[in-house]
Amino acid sequence: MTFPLFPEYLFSLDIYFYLLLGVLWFYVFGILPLVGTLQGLVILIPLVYRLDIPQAFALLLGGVAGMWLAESTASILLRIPGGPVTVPLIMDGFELTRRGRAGLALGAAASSTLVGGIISPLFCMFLLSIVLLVLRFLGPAEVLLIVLWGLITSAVTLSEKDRRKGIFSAFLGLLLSTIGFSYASQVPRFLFGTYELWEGIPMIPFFMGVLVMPEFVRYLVRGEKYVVKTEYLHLTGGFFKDFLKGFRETFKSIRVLLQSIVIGIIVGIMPGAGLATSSFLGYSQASLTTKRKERLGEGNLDGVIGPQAAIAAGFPGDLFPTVTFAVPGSASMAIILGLLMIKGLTPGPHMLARQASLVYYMYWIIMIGCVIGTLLSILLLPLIAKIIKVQVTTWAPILIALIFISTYIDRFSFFDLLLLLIFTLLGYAMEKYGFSTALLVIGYVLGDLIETQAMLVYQLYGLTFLLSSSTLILVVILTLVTVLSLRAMSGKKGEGS
Amino acid sequence: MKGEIIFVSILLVVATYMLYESFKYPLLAGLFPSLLIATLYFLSASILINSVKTRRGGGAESTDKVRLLQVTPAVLIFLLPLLIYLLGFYFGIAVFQVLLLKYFRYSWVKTILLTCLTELMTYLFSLAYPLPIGLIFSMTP
Repeated sequence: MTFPLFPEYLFSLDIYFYLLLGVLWFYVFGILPLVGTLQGLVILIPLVYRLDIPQAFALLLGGVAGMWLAESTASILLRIPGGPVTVPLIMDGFELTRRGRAGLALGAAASSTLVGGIISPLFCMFLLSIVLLVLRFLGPAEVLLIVLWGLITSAVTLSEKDRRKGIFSAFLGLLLSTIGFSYASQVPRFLFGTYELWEGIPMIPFFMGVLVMPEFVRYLVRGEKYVVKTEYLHLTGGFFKDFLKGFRETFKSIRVLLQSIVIGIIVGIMPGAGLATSSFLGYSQASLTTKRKERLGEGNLDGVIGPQAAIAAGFPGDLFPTVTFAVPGSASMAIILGLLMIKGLTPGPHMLARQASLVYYMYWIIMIGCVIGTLLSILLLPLIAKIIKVQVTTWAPILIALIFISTYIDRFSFFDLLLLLIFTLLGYAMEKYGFSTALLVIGYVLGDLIETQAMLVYQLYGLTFLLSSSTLILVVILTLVTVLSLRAMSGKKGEGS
Repeated sequence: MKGEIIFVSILLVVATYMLYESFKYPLLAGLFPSLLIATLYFLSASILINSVKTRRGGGAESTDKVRLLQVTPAVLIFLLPLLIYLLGFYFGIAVFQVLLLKYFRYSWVKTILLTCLTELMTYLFSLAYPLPIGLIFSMTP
């Protein structure tokens, strides 16, 4: 077995062109209200899957890794979080802006992003090397158990309000994945009278309909207008001096910084926990360990460093179970997993064993994307207020048109436009009644893998695999890990809130 | 909630149809979906009972009656595929955008500028991918 730590793709110049494009794309999505990483990813998918795999990942992973500072900037400067992930940054970040010290907060956010975004991929690559050694002990039964564990853990952690609805959403996703020709049993199933569904529900209209469109429909139906107050926004004079000071201040809170990075990685690896949890835990831990004289919520810089480092470190962690065991911990990772499948790769232990260089490449590109994206975000800071002031009703119709064109060009089929509408209705109703669209997507992406593995295991061992010692040990370990981490997370969340 | 009960019921009807279909397939092909549907039945029964209890308790009844006027943007979005089918991507999207922007009371100048921007985007796509010109324009006299 080889350890291709420095994949050759990294030395190709076109990768950096796509990386830069991705960073700019996600920069805009990071700042604009109503949309974020997830929407940026989904809209890009039909455009990128004609690219080579390294180019596609440079655009997607590099772009996402580079957007965290941009997303936090909107929270810190304008009190408009790009998503739940950056909500904790409002408390101390915006407080500093209100006092005319926005530069300090942004400088600290920039250095925390850089440190978190560099250490976390390096640690994940180290972890990958260990997992590669363990892989030889995993058979199809163990892989099936790990995938099922990931799905159930995601269902539990992503549906705190009503677990029944969470599990229902995941199972509905699994059921939708059974539509179309089954390669495992060589039978076409549930075609609903049309051959357009022969290859299953196409991913693009499904993702667009369930994840992107409902937000637009809901917003446009409400017809609200975002009012952006920019009275505290003065990016001149002392701002840049403050920025450099904030950049250095991060390294004075080394304990907060490192503990947030560890939290980010661990929570990221936990399926379903998500970056928002990392960010809130980073904040609550900072409140316990801060040594600065200000209280948290009153302009304490550790209230910026903690969540920001946890977010930057959480994204590479989030990718880890996706590539190692094909267990996506979030809707964004389910999309990445879907893209890998579209490209003919089978994520999980097989891919890791045979295409380790690609997996290492993914982590390198995240690290480089984080560095380039953060530096670019710093340069583009003056633009941020201009972009965010554009009304949603101005750009939403353009994005809707883009969604329809992207959906059509996937298979050049009008049927896909109808599917888009059907899934928009499904996603809208699910969100309205408290079901989880993220779990629906995770279930849909994992369905085929679970069925194929289950069938393989059944044919190889029958039901006796449940009694084998390695399986039993794995079940005990996974159960313990789940119970302990869920307890720890709910305890910390309570403290944080 | 009434809406939730209707939503889950519709999903159950589809699931029941799929269950009926799955009996026609060989055992290996029908087993996985049948197990999934059985679990869905169990979960939806629990969700429905909870929903009915909430309703009887008088709590959480949806009060957000959406006025007809507010639904217009959603209707326009749902009409867009038909517009594209009839008028093609260029004109279909242009009509959609003008109607939507005028609904939000944008000035004609802004509306035309934004529509031109979208048309430019559509044109760029058409350079790489064949976009249909619509049923009406493809009819020959």
